[in-house]
Amino acid sequence: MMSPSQSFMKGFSLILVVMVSFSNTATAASNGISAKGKQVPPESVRTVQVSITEGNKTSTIAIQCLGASPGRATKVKKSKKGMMSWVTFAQLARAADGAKAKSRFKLLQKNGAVACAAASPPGGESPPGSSPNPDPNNPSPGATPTPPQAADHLSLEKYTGPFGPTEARILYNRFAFGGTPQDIADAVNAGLDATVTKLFTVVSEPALDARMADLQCDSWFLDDPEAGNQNKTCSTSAINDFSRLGQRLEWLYRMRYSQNAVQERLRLFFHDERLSVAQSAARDCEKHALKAYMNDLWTLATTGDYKNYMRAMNNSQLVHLRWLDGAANFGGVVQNRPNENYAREFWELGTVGPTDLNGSPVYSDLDVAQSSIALTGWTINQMTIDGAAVCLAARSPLLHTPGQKTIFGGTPWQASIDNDEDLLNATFAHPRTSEHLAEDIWKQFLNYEATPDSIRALAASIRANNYNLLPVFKQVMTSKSLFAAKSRKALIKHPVERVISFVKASGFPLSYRRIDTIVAQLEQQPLNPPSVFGWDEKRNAGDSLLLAWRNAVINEFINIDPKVVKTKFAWSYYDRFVGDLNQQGRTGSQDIINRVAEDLGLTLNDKQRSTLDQYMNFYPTTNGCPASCNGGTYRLERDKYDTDPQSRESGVEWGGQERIRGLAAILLTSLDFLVK
Amino acid sequence: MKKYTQTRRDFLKLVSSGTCGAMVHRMLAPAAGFIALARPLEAHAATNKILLITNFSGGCSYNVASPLSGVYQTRNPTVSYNATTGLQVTNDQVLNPALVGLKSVWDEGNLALINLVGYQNHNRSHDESTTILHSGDRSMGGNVQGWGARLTEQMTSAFGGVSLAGSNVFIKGGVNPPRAISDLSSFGESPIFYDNTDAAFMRDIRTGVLVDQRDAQNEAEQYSKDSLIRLQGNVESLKQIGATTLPVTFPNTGFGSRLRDAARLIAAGTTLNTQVIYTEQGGYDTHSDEKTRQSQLLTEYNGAITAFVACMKALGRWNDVVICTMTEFTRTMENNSKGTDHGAAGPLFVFGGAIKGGQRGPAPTDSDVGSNEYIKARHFNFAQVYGEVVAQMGFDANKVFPYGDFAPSPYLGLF
Repeated sequence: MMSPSQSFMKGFSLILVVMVSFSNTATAASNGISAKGKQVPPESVRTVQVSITEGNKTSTIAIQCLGASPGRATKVKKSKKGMMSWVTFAQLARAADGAKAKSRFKLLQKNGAVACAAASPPGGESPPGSSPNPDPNNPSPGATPTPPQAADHLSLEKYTGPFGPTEARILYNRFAFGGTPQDIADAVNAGLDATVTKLFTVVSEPALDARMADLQCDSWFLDDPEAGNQNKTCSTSAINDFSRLGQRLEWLYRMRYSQNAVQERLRLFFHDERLSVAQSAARDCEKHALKAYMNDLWTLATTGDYKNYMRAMNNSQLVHLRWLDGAANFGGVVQNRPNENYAREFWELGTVGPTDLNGSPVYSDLDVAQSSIALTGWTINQMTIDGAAVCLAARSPLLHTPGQKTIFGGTPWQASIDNDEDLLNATFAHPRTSEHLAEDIWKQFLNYEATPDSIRALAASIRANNYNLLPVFKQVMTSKSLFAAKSRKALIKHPVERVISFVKASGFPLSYRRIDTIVAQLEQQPLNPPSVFGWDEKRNAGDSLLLAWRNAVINEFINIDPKVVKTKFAWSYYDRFVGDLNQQGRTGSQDIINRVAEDLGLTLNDKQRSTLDQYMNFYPTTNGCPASCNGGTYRLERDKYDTDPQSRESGVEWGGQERIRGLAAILLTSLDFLVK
Repeated sequence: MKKYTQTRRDFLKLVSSGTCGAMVHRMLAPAAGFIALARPLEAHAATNKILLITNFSGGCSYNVASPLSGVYQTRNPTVSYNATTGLQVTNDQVLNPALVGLKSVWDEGNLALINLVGYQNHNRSHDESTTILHSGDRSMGGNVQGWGARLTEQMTSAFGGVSLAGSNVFIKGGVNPPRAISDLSSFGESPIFYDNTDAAFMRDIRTGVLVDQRDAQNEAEQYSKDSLIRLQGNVESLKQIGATTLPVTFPNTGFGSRLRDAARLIAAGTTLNTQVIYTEQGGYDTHSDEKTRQSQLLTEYNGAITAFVACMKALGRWNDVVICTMTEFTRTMENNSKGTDHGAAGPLFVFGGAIKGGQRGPAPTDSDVGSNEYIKARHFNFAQVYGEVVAQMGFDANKVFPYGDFAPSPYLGLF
């Protein structure tokens, strides 16, 4: 079995081969040592021997770890007052091999992170400026290490069981908005590891990109005859010249058609769970900030660098400055009460979460007030460019309140910060940031059964990977937990997943514009969340919104004119689900029931199949009621399917395909389809 | 997985609990034919009082009822109202000028303005404070139960409680939680294929597929199954209620539609026996430009509530209805962007034909405001207010608010 750190290292051409030993090095220094001038507790400094191989040459280098930090230095020097200073990786790289300084620097930095994380006690590093006696273990006293034998649904160990259509559907349903029949078949042929590798390989899609640029411009495709005169030409130099609706339609279209389905699913995950934002927050002069946000999500989904993403959120005109009022958070010369909105949500939703695994608060109101002051220093300037109003965010030192602010006061992660970068560093030094990420990943992709130990295990992996979430997601996607029996059908599908997974599985020709209306009815319109908290999947699966789903299924997917759809889109329920079976002579209703259920990823039992068989082969009539209706309002008469597969209800081509469409309607609104 | 095990018999009970007495839900069992599931609802309510909660979601500022005292006014130069700009109700307080309908109820002696309602160590997170208000429970655990659900546990009607704002913690948990409905007017399945007979056939097939589903194996399946069960039971009943013609026209606004549906539920009387209705109006998170935004929201609120009061009077139910406001926290003093940030305790309105109007607790004074960023004083625990209404409805308030931090007494003498 490959450990998270091994998995991480595998991607590098220069391979870390040995982590020899580690020991505490700062022996005296009761007043601590310094890293870049800031106090650090001596007991958190560890020496790790890292051997690296470059071609035929192997060399061993000692690096110093600060807790689980990336190993920012190689050795410490005592100053006159017992203080310490660092020799940087860059210096070491130059000294060791000037010609390869840059690559060695990166190698040391990255592999040092792995080595430090492995040598570090669980719970993360102590940040610069932390209190002198931290508990390095974790933020949740009483925590215990991961048990050696976690139950399968709680285990992140590598899954080694069979990988058939059922497992492939689990993978695609959780991470790719479902799959087409071809996706599932290809995955089974390739196997789990190859499929995961493929899913994480970003595919260049220039043709799709061009089509999306057209859609984003005015929310219509150029070749859509229904567009009338609504197509326009957008200027590539005018940064606000595009349609908000077009932006949403583009994303939904990519979720359905892009080969980069995992990246789109991850974008939705981060958009939903991490500082969800409404596109309406951007004024007309700053629509460009919406594009920047989508790019930030894309960068995160393709690089996995979560810390950099939160740095981008700190700089985001849309999320920080507009949606969460950072533009009104003045300090400096405008000494006034700061606006705390972003500071609070940065922690509550973006990083550490409000409470730890024991339910204790992670930060106080005072901490929020202090961090909001650290975040001051932004303004938004309006200008005119080529005759159009443009609003651009800018840092304004005069509006920043300088000086040290204490956050996480009285905890082992107490830190003294001045600005947003300090806030970011101190927050990512807090192990709750990884735990909170682990909580969200677990509940969105694995199951609702996570224990504190399982969260700690996933959090440790996140820290070991330096908050690069791609290896973490790969670990999750190949874990025992994902494929465990107790994880199956253990998550509620998001409405967007219901719509897109059906369209993918069936090939139903849903209009690129209609899909936005449907997800709006289901109250999960991307870029239009109900609040900064994103969507609550349980609320979306409440009975009232399930009614909306049922109506959407009927109105959008079922009550269609088959002839029109066939003519216009060369698609019909008959062709999709029945045609080839009839060619094989498998015309019985059970064949159709099994086919539709299987393609939608559903498992029916005998009783359910029997009930559906009645639906396929009987029709209701009020003739003779109430006398002949056994107290009910209708009775059933034998009809159709098995006795007359060519009937109107059976739906050969234009017959109406009523029973097949009705079968799809029932199954799409069944319990099994609502969970994944 | 005993926790999630549900027998066919349990299921049938649940489905039947969602039906109206006059209706018979039949389910098609493949081998056994139809099964009758009718179970008439019992008229059981201890009184005929009805609690309507209107939640100002997002944290409504104190400027819904601005204090007139010095510091509050000077610290809120842009967003507050004074004796000239507000609707004066006491020497130390004015109502927001948008609330002319509430002022009329005040003048009739049926509006109680209760100052500084909150709870100890008020949480300033939207999500967490709403959870506390909805549950009367600080544990914040995943299994926290809403106090609305604890209240409807004491009722036998399947529609004893209804949320017209979708699902939330208030209606979560228990054996008979309030039903979540977005919009009564759209309730009911669109016709499928030929006619209503076909639709009924579809309904019965759907029910059969659900009945025969394996027992729920986990939380996701159980939750979804419960939702489907409620959906099946609710559709037929509520689509009839949604067609009720009312004696008063409600404004065509989001909140107006919700109160129109609330009025329809109440007009249904013993057909549903609805006694607690939860509604929300969002948008009160006014970090900037509060005066404009709050005024717009309260204008919409006032229009809807004015129609609702008139409707209740026309239906002869004004003396039965108690309307309570709710909000997760009030807000700080004015910030630099003419808005306010997250605060703590705030004002709460309780009104209805049976309410003894007037002010409860003085408006926040200078000593309450001081130099703090927000008002930290607290006169009342929110459970005291809602608990008194619950007790007046004839239910056990101690069971609705069983946790120590949220004792439902002493009462404020609202009735």
